[in-house]
Amino acid sequence: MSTVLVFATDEDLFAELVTAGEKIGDEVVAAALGPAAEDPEVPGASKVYTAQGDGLDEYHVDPVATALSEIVDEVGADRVLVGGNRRGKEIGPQLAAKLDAGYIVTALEIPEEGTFRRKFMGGKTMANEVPQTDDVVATIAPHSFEPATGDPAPVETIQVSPGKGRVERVSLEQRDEEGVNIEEADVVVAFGRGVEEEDDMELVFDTAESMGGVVGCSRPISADLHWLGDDRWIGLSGKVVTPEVYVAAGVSGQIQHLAGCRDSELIVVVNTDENAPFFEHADYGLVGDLYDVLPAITEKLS
Amino acid sequence: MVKAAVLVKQVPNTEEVRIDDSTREPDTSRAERVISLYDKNAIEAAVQLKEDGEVEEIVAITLGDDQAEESLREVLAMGADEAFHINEPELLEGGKLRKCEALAGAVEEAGDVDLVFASEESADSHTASTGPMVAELIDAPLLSYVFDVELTDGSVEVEREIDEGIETLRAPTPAVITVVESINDPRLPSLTEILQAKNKPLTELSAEDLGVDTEPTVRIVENKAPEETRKKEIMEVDDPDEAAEWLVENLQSEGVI
Ligand SMILES: Cc1cc2nc3c(=O)[nH]c(=O)nc-3n(C[C@H](O)[C@H](O)[C@H](O)COP(=O)(O)OP(=O)(O)OC[C@H]3O[C@@H](n4cnc5c(N)ncnc54)[C@H](O)[C@@H]3O)c2cc1C
Ligand SMILES: Nc1ncnc2c1ncn2[C@@H]1O[C@H](COP(=O)(O)O)[C@@H](O)[C@H]1O
Repeated sequence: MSTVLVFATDEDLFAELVTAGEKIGDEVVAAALGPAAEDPEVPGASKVYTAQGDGLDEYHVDPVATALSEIVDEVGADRVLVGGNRRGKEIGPQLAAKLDAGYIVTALEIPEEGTFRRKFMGGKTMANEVPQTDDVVATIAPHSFEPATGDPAPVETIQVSPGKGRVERVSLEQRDEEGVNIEEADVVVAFGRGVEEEDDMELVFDTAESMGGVVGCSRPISADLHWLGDDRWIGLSGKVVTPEVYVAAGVSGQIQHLAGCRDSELIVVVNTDENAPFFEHADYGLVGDLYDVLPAITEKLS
Repeated sequence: MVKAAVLVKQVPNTEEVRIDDSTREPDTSRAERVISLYDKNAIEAAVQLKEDGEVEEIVAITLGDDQAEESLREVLAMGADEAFHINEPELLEGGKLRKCEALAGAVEEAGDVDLVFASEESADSHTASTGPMVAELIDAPLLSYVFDVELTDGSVEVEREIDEGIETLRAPTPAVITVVESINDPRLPSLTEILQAKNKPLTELSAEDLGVDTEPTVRIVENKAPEETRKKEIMEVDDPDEAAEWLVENLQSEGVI
């Protein structure tokens, strides 16, 4: 019998992990640590173990990974699924190293028991990976599995002694969520470094509005320049979108960006460089300057 | 003496990886080998600390095949003092864990390393797990997704972007830091630096030297590109209004706007 332990620092992910867990084990139990331990609701699992502790409150990676390894031992789990947000992606590998377990990162599908499917080669390909070890740790990409339904699992408190860890939080500046849900939008107008100044983003917002869509961006716009928040960053390490129309203006279309929009129904590309890789993936391509083309589209639609 | 180790991976330029039409499998043989995009930010972070007098010595470590030496020379040109090349074909496949054991072994081999730098994720396999695993294996605190580092005797303070916002963390050294691109702009080495790099020490290591097992922990059993069919109707824009009209008409006839 195989027991799967699921864990996330984002409570919304638990139900998705339970669905994934059911594919690879006979019993799914959950661990809710720190803030999530207050009043955990995990539908479909057979039990939720909660634990509290100093370093757990702030989700410091070392205490969390240590606590999880203690719970794994205690409940006799041989598979651990971790919600694949940023914290999950630092906790998963540490836990794998502690357990000497094969590690799978951001699985999107579990085609059959023991096989995990994920993006590879910058997102160009999909790989099927098979762990060769007795124990397995995998992070699961958010929103890849339908959330489990059913009654919330009964809660049991478990004692762990992970210690405080050596990392200390000096401060946390909570992000103001703009609340755009780019994953649900029918039209996404994305831009990249082809937009030269922060103020020029206006052009893109106008076009998006005229098309009834929302604005997205490439990684450098969010991660490097910080013009827009993470919730608009599309690609391998950002959001994955599948709108009816994806417009990419001033985005070169490198594979890591394409990995986030490749399944859109229609792709429109605006780029001054006729050799931009994005044109290979376009339904409609406009070789031209976004500073001319976007306002013309906006004008046409309003 | 404060010593930094930088983990750098050589990868095929993912833009130049071709997909075989019949098998849909990737062909990396004709792709140029480059330093993984954000690893240059990791090196730059170490080199800047050295220029500021906070770090005295930088060791670059790579696990890769024969060609990976070229990338190590590039890192030496950017400012590393010494390089370790783990050249062990058996470790190139087979999952992250044994690779990280080898990298952790090389960090220990370098001796008294205070800071280990890696990037958040590599361009080809993007497992984002090397920093966290190496930290666990050398029993050092992990600071990941870092865009600002400050080092003051025996402790390091970083800023990083995490799911909930911007977090400032402090930890004692030795510590492992994974960086993101906004931390700095990597330099281009000068011709002199490139020439000097040829004479810097570079040591090859095997799994055996490091006492690491090469048994795979994960196997890739299939790796294929999905099929894609796009219309690829491309128009050169002479008159933006005309172009907009063409596009809007097409989108309307597709029924999407
Ligand atoms: C591990 C890893 C993960 C990554 N994850 C992501 C990810 O999730 N998302 C992501 O986006 N990237 C990601 N990247 C980065 C990716 O490889 C590219 O570097 C990035 O997508 C490039 O952004 P860009 O297209 O905005 O900029 P550039 O590549 O600089 O392209 C700008 C484009 O704008 C065009 N242009 C310039 N001026 C104009 C104009 N006036 N009008 C029209 N076009 C113009 C140019 O011709 C060019 O094609 C990742 C990279 C790595 C290594
Ligand atoms: N084979 C390797 N040799 C040296 N450093 C590596 C290797 N693989 C990964 N790294 C480092 O770890 C980072 C993250 O890689 P990954 O965990 O594969 O996404 C890379 O950007 C490098 O800094």
